[in-house]
Amino acid sequence: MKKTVLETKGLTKRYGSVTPLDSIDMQVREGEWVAIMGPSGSGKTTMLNLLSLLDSPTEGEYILDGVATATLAEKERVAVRREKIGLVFQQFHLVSYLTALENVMLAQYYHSMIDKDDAMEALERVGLGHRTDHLPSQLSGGEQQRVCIARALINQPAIIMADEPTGNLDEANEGVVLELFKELHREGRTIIMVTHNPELADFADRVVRLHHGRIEKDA
Amino acid sequence: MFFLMLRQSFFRGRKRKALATLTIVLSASLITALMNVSIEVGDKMAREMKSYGANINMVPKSEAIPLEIGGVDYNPLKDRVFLNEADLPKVKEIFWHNNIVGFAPFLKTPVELNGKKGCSLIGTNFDRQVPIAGDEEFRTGVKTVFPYWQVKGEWPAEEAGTSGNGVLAGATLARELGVKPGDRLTVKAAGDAGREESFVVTGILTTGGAEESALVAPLPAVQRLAGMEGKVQSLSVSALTVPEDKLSRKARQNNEALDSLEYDRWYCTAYVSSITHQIEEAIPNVTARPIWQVAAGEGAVVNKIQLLMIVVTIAAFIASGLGISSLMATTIMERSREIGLMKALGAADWEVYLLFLSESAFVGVLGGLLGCVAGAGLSQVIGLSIFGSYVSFSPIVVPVNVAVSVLIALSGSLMPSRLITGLYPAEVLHGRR
Amino acid sequence: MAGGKRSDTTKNAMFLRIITKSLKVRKNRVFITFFSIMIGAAIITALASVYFDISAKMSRELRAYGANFFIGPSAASGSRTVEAATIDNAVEMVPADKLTGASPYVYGVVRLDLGNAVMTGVDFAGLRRLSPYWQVEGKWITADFDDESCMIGKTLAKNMELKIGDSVTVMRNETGFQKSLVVKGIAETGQAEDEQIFVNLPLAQKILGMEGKANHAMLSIVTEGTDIDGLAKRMADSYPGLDAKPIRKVSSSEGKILDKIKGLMAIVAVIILTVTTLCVMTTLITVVSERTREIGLMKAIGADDREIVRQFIAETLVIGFAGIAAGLVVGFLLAQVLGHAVFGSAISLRLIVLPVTLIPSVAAALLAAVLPVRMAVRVVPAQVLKED
Repeated sequence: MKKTVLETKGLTKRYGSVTPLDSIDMQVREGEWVAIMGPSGSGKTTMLNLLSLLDSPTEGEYILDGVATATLAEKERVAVRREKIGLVFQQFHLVSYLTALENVMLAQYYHSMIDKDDAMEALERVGLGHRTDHLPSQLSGGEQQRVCIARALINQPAIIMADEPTGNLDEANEGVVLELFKELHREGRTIIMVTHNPELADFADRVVRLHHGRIEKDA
Repeated sequence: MFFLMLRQSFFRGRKRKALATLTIVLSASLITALMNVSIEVGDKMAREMKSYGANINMVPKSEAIPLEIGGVDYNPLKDRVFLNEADLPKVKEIFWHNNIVGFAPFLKTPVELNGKKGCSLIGTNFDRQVPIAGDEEFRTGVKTVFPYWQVKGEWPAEEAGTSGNGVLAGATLARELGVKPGDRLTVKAAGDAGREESFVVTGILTTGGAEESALVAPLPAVQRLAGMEGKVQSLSVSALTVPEDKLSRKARQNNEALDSLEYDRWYCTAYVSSITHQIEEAIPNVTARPIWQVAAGEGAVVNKIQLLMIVVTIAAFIASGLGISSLMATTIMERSREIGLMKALGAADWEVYLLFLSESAFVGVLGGLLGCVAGAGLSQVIGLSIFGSYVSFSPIVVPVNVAVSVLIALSGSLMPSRLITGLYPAEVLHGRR
Repeated sequence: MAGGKRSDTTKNAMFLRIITKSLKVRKNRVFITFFSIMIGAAIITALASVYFDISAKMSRELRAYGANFFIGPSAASGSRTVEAATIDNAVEMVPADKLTGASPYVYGVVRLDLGNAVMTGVDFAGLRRLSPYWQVEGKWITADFDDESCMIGKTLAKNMELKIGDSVTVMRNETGFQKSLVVKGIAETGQAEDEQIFVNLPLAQKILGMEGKANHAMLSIVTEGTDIDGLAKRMADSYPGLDAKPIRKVSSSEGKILDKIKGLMAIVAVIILTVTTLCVMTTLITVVSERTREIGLMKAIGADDREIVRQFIAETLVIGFAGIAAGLVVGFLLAQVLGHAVFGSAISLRLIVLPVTLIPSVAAALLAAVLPVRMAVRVVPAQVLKED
């Protein structure tokens, strides 16, 4: 059995009287592809934000790749995120004034060192070798999302986390992005993906269904 | 619906709106304060300029020409005409009585001092209460009119005290005679049958003028000594005036040449020439002449300061206008996505304009009004710290300020709104801009 | 991978690249930031320049009040006159650029057609600069060799029934000198001058039999930057027969008025400086706040706070210094416009203006950049990124 890269115990998030996420216990093993599904407002995005350390839980434990993150300071959380997590967003989120290549290099820059060739290679891999010098506004939605994926991969993270990565894409682009994720899975990467799309979920090893902030089904 | 949107969009971006309003408030308060001060600075500085001394000299109408060189009269036997001391308070009852800061009467008589001939004794008021209808507390004298007179020692009392009359000795005279404060002097009116009186020197007077080689004593004592009770020779008047201009020059050349409208305007403006004219009307048989050294010098300096303030105000005005414009431009640019959405939902360009411009206008009015309040306070700070008095608030500042704030806010919004409404909604919505 | 050294240079290169790109691509915002900093710096520069020059400028304006310095025979000499040449030498001691005007005076009683009057001999060119407040009808005497003309006080003119262009016969009993002069101008001052008749100094000396002599001299000296009391003392020391002193009436008032004007200008300048600085700050805060989402994204992909703050400070400094440099130039030009509009002369460039402009501008720009960035980095990235 492969080792556990991610484990939560009683992970809870509260905003005043609202509890979008309530006592989540979950384990993810290395190389697993987990899809998190559920209706709107079931706590999917909150959960991903907690798992990706973009937000901190109100209660509970969260061990990421052997590091207990609940007690970390903001600065250390940034460092852990930088080292271990690659993020892909639904709204792409690229720095508007940097080119595709520079957006990828930005992740290298914050992580450790710049290697332009590596960045080029990452873009080529997502099929954007010919559009490296374009600004985000000059790229289509699918292309922007592929730049995001290239950026998420560039620092060889332990886990890739994606929030509705195909939510804003048309069918053709969805196919391209899905292929990329399949390939990453074949390479043995751990993937945690929030999605609405059952087709996407079909490729996952495991589907976690959330309802009202609790795990309804984990299979 | 429009108002709903306006309200929503206003309150949604509250922080940003607050920042924009704050900037407008700051600029508007700056402009308010500067405008207020510019309007008042002439009056304020004119009052400061009173430290140069009297600007009007009033003498009896007379045909005689004095032949005086350096305080020595070469024609002492000429016919003398005098002013009646009782007439003097009338100066404070003319149309521009509020502008009369003070006056000091003078009576000069030749005396023998401790047996030395050819000295002058000058009688005047130092700081006397003058009964004026409507202003019981009016005090005046050389202390008010000639603030640059310096006394080493004490000023004499207006009335004779227990040790007799006090007197100031001019610095030059004191040096010649070796007089110091506390000395007693015997003064005898010139001529064989002259009366004699004893004075105590209370202080040494420095003025830089002819008074330095004379004795200066309270008026009643000098009148008694000279046998001229109730008479004075001249009156120095210190009046707040406005600088000369074309109209007053025309009036001075020939009073008759003014038409009635011009005459009224001239008469009701505090020109030094209209004030002298009014003094001559109020008191018969006197000539009131502007002392041009003070009157014209004051005009030149006050004009400069006023001009300086106006130019500085205009510069600040333009700068804050540009500042607000650029701020409004950023707030609009920030919302390009929203504009794209509105257009995508079918809003016409003018509807987009209307929403944004009414928001800006609202911010402008609010900022302008608050700015007026803050500016009124700010102008008091300036007034109190520089002139030690309040600056009156000119109502004209309010509409000007609000109108200008709105105009600036609108012009700042118009440019970027145009830029953004010109785009296709898709470009903006997808951040392709 | 690459060695430490190389990675450093490429990291720096990347940093530069981010900054340049951010400045180059976000043209509108960069321009607005630049523009508002420039306006702020310009107005501060202009006002500071005017403020530091105001004393010198107003001191010259106050010369409208006429003579503020007197040179005459000393009391010890017992004489009522001095050699005109001695006075000329004493006047030379005043620095030329500080001397607004000077004239010697000689007095004597003469007989006119209808009565006696005091005749005054002066240097008209000097007198005109000395006493700009004279109200003259007709013309000033311009040539100093003109011994056919005179100017006459208003009261005297009225009493002697003289008008411009009339001739008047001047006679001095003691010397028996007699000459007919043309009235060129009638002067009014409201003081003793109204009863006097004025001619050129050499002519008066001849008429009065006082060749080479003068009773005293009046000077108008710019007091700003001049030690007027020290000057008086040096003059009296160099020429023991002379009494040199400031005229209190004018010189002491001048100090008071100058202080007022300086105070007024200072408080106005400080208020404008503060308000302008605040305005620039609010604009900059708006521009930076707009980038909250970008900051959230940077954090999400692993930037630590320091890194982000560093980038924003660097950007602000680049725009800020460009804006301030432009503002200094524009502001100095603006000061010249102000100077010419108000005083009709240029405002001099002073080094002190540089820090006065630089410090508040840079401080405002930095504060305006750091404040919103600090606020933004504290926000949990999830919240920022979710907002659309």
